[in-house]
Amino acid sequence: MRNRAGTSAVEVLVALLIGLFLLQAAMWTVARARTYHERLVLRSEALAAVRLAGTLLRMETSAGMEALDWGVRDEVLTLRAFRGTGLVCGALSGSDSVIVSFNGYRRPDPSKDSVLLLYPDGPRQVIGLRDWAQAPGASCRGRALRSPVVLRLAAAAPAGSVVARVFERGAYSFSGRALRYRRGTGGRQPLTPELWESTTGWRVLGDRLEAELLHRREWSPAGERRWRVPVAARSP
Amino acid sequence: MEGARGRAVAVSGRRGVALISALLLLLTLTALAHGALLLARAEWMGSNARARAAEAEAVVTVRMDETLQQGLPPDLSDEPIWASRVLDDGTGSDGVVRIQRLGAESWWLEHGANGHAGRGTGVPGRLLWWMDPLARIRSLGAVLSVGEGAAWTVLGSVERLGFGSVTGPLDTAACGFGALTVTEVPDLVRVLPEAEMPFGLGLLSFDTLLARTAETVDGIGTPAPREEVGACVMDDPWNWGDPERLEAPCGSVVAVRAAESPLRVEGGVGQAALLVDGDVELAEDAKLYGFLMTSGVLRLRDQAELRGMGVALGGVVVGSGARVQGSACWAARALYAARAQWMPMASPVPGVPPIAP
Repeated sequence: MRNRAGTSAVEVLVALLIGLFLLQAAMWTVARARTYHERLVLRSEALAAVRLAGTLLRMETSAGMEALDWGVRDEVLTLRAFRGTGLVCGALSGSDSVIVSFNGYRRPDPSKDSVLLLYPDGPRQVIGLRDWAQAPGASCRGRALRSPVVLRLAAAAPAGSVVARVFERGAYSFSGRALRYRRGTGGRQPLTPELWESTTGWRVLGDRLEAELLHRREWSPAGERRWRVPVAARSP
Repeated sequence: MEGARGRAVAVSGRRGVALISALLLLLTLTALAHGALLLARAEWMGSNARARAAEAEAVVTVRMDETLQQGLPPDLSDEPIWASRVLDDGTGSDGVVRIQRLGAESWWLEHGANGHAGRGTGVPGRLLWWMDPLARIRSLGAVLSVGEGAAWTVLGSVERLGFGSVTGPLDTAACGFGALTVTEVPDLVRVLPEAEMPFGLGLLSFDTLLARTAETVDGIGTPAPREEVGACVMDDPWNWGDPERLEAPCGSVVAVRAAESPLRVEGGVGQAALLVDGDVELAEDAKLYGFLMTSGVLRLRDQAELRGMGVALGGVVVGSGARVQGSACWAARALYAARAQWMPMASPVPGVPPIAP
């Protein structure tokens, strides 16, 4: 009997209680840690969505002028989404082609792009893009062009343009609880998770355009839920 | 001995289970903590990247603004179209600032990144406008221009023969003709189309031109070169240089003058860019070489002569005996002198934001 370990019932009970207590504490700790971890993930995604909305909308609107290139109507920001710029080497009067030194986020796409032609002292003209082609080795007044491209327009352009900006028509809206982009008359593609309250939308103030973002409670259970993101400056 | 060994084995076994359990728990908590740490770090990096991009964008914007504020090289306007020049090589900085001439008055200012710094800032270029005298002369396209609906009467003579040529005592450099000259034959009188309103020179409105002209004259006066001890007296508002003796002390002086009320010039001689907000009259044997722009009516009487170009919103009357000799050279000479006051450097085209990409 002396050689048996553990021995008394009291010791067993105490050991059992302590063990259960420790097990409960460990499970509680793991559960809480998991909860906080999930919250942190949601919070991280929510903050990333705020950053994405702010950065993207500022970038898109800063490329144009209010009323001319963008505007908010019926809770939708419609705009010319500029995707490339060409410095015009030459356009013959009445010609429907311009040779440009092109730099862009992507290549021109005749299925969805138009061209905004800028003239030296302010006038501008929009013409559809019919076609385009690379023009390797092209030069302008004896100087080699960087990324030479020929833009073929849907109509003849008045001579004298100096910059050709390639753009697509787009619209941003906070619908279906997400920030969505709609190209032309296409479908609305979500750019963020569906994490906004239905009251999220635009605030057109005297001197600026803001996006007022409100996270759904489950996406920000403990942190800040309301964000005012400056999107663009407006002319007073 | 055997009993003690058996107890030690049993105790050891129990300790092992507890240790493994504790280690597993610790590992689980550590994994969760690391996950949280990684998320926090990703969040921090995301925020930091956005902050760095905003900072780089601000730096690029400020550098291009600074380059413009510092002024452009005086000989830049001699650059042929499509040539480019580095304005700031970015030594010790984050990139170069380059300007390229796209047209007579259009310039493209762009920031080119060095290495990684400044990349992807989204503000690489700006479209600028810089008044070019020859382009303005071509744009006007006439010896005399009048506003829409204004009348013009020519009893004397308006001539365009030799409009683009360089005649004595001037030479090509004195006209400001570099690689570019004016070869087009202008109209004698042209009505400014509605599309060219508001009244002014390109993007510079008439009011802006008036406001930027430092020296003013008013009333009635007679311009004449004024020299003292072999030097040209510059602070006399009626000293409009000496166009007929270019080697004289006042020969290189081209006046830039504005009048905010009607002006009458009685006799005298001068070379100038003259702006008048109201009617202007050249009378007697007054001789003005250069460029004249008025919001009222331009009248030449007696034997008065204008050699260069004139723009009159209210109309033109060239009296019998008076003469207007069209000359791109004299007009360009005056406009080059005036540009130093009216538009010493290029500025962004209104309505065109910084362009990216």
